[in-house]
Amino acid sequence: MKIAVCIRQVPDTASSPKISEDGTKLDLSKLQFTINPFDEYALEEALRIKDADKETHLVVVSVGDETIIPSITKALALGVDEAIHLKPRNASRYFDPLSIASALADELRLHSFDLILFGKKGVDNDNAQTGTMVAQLLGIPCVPNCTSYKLSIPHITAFREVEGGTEIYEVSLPVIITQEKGDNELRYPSLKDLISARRKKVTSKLIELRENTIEVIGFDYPPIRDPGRIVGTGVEAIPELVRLLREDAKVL
Amino acid sequence: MVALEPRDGVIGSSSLEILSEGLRLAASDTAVSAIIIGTLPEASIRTIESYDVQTIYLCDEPEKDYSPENYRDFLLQAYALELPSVILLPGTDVGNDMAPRIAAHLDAGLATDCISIDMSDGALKAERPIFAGKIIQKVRIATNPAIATLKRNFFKGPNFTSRLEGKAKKPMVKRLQAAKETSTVRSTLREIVRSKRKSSDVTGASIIVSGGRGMKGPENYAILEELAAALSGAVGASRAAVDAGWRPHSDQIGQTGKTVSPELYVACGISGAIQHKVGMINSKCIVAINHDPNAPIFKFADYGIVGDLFQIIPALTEEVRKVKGALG
Repeated sequence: MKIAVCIRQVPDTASSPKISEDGTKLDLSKLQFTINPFDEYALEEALRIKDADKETHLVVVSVGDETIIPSITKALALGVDEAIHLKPRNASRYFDPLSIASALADELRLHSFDLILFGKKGVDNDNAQTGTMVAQLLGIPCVPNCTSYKLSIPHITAFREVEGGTEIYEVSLPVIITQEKGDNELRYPSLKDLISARRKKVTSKLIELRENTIEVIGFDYPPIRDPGRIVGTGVEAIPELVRLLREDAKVL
Repeated sequence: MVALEPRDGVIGSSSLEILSEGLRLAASDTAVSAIIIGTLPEASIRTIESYDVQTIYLCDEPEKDYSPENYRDFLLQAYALELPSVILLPGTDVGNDMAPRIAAHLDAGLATDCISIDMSDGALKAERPIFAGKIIQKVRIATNPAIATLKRNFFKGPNFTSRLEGKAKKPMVKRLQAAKETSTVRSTLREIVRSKRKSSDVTGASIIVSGGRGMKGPENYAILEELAAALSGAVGASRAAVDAGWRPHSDQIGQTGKTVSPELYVACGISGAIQHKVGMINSKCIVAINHDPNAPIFKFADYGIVGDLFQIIPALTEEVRKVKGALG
């Protein structure tokens, strides 16, 4: 079985980027970057499939400049067999989801993956589009926001979390799954893995991305909340809290 | 073109907000059509008829063997008949699923989870939260069509009245058929396992009582469920509680969980770290209950009580019941 996991980097979740004076740019220079958390969940699910079947061929695919190499190396160290690194010709440009999806689809079309995995969204731009778009461009089914799935080749049963319950989908491979958080925290590499990672195949390609459909014109901070107050200590404060909720906030 | 998703066979207020936005954006000479993504009984169609909608598209699709690819095809069929320059969808599970599919097919720009939209020189402008809401991103989409999904439970303005004064023409209702040959390239929904839990879903709840690490164990959530019941709200959880296995991921609020904007959010035993904050900071009113007076949550909660939540929560539930009882 051949599986591709599409990963990318995002700034650390605790970070807060700064907006430029003129409000047109985000300053990401002082931020630490890691693999997008949802991509990590996807990667863990793929690694578990390989745990169960050593013959599984696992490939990580990523669009970005040389700054994403540590993430690719980490994936290889965790057990991914090879990596495809797509380097955009003009890396400083903003790439919208459709331009990334098109580039990934063009590459994925050259292979015959049974399963292609994405994180459900990037925690920086929160678009949640790329994985589903790639499925549309490749003409294969997609089940987004899956918490888990069960393989019974040539089919897959995917569990998708929705409001009020879980949907269970039956699909024939090949399929794209975008991964929701489940019982799938990413494992840690061992020293042996880190060493063997260096010997694994990384294919680097210079690519031209299509033009964007979205233009980012600026940024702003959300309105700041007025500071609140501590009403009191212990159960004695309750009547006053309830009064405030009723009369001031009017939420009761 | 506005995609409306019925809930229990009814076009609800959140769908009507999207319809209102569509009408607001349409210039006086631009037609607005609606497509219903779901099943809608005839009687409920009347809700839409009082708005200035030219055509309503319904899908003649059997409930069983639902496939997202089928809904995508219906949307594209309706698109081909209407050729709208803007398509609006709700930021619901179905809307979020459909939007990227049709955007990729139509080579259209898509802005997801928008908190505000407008037309400007023939292009769609939108504002949307990024970095889990720490930053607002402003975008401009000049493609034809331009597509946007609107953030759930966010557009809470007054209902927009019909653009036309006096009698508006009744909309035409068109039923679209599924394609005769069903391609095998589809995912089929086999079944839906409904959540059997007592408390309702946090998504869209107007009151949420949420518990974090300070709850110390799953059995203690019973007191939060009691308070939530007294308030007619839902129970949420921080990541710490979900990772510890105390609560399901569907209850998780925060950066890798859900973003909510209820009228009232009661945070119990939650420190208020940024990853949780971004998931609930848009709540109208935030109450924090924590034994640590230096917990970050007190810096942005509207009201806070410092103390032992195991004493405070049950007492709060009592008080709420008393007050609600007195109100009749």
